Amino acid sequence: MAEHQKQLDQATQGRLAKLATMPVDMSRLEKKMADALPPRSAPKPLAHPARSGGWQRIAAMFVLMAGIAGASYFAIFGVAPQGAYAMTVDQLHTYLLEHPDSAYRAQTLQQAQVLLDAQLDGSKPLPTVDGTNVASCCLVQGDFPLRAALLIERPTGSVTVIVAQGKDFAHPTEAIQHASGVELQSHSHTDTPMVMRNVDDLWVCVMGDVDESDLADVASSIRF
Amino acid sequence: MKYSPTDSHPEDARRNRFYAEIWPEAAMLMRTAISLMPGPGKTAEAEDLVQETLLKAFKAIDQLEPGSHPRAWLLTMLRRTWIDRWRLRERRPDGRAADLDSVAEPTFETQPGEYDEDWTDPESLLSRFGDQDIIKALQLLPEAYRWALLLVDVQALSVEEAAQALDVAPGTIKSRLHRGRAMLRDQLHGYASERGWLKSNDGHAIAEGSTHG
Repeated sequence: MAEHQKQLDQATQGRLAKLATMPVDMSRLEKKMADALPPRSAPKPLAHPARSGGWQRIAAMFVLMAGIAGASYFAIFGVAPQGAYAMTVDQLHTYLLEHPDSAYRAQTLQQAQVLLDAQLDGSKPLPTVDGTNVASCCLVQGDFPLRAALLIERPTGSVTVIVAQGKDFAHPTEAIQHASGVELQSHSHTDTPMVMRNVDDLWVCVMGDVDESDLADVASSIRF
Repeated sequence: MKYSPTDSHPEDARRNRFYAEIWPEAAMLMRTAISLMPGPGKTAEAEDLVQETLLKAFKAIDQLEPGSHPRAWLLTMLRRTWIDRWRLRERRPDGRAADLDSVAEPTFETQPGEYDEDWTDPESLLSRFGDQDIIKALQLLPEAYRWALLLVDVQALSVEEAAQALDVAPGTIKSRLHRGRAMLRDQLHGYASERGWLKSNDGHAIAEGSTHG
């Protein structure tokens, strides 16, 4: 009798536990919460260090930021930072690949555009990554507000798309012209190739272990 | 995720922490809220309840210890918000709030689990019920038992965490779990009988009430 009661209790408990995976529609609540929470503060104007103060101030700022970013990097990767002083786009790319739950994923460019638009207008939160700023991997002069990030599953591999705000986010170094007429910057400062594109004060960085032409197709196709 | 000390604006840091630590639990809160709302078509009401809870969590996020799992904290907050709403709705004509505890520990005409001997293969029978059947049966349980089942059996809180959330002794939670599961089975027994899912020992379907008249 006691055994039967135990079996009944376990079976009831097991069936109740399945309610924890019951699908629920969160879209309306997500929108309501985005409307109800205080809006994200406007990004601060970014002053070029060389124009904003003396060299002592620049050096002090560099030391402070290096300390903060180094601590963040250590917290994420568990190893000592190697010359990085902010989360760079290639670190973010690696992080999103290694933490699938943190990243938005798109199968097509159309899906990617919807996810990008939602992040840019604030109706979707940024991916769960450390901090809200990001640095380009070819500069050492500051970090910039991250505005959107996601992964696109391309036939040849995963591609990360990162949108950051800041006119000086990247140096135009190796300009390439896409067939569509869009001007892109090709970067090869890390092992992972990347293609960047600038519109007003926004930059998109598209990177991944795929052909550069594929990266260029993505970078030239998306709107931001 | 960790929220970064480099967040320049405190509200941004709070918002980032909210989306990193609290928002992933929002669907869990939504499922719990749906199971609390009596009657069908209460999704909008459940959404309002969860939204109010999440906004409270956003305001109080500094009280959540960094690195701690927020589930028990959020479910406690959801329950308090639900009680506040319930009391407001049930406010008496003289303006006094109704006492939730007076309905929390009902007395029973029959002993829960009186149909338990009919459950010859409980796992198989329970698997035939859809989520909506289970929720409907849960909604018919008294408040105190429903919460114990929701917190421990559905949302996997420990007995101790549930006891803290419901402000009762762990022993009370264990007792409520045992009785609550039996009451739930009694409700489901009725549905199973109506659907002809129960078989007597001689292989015939058991009609509602035929063996327990």
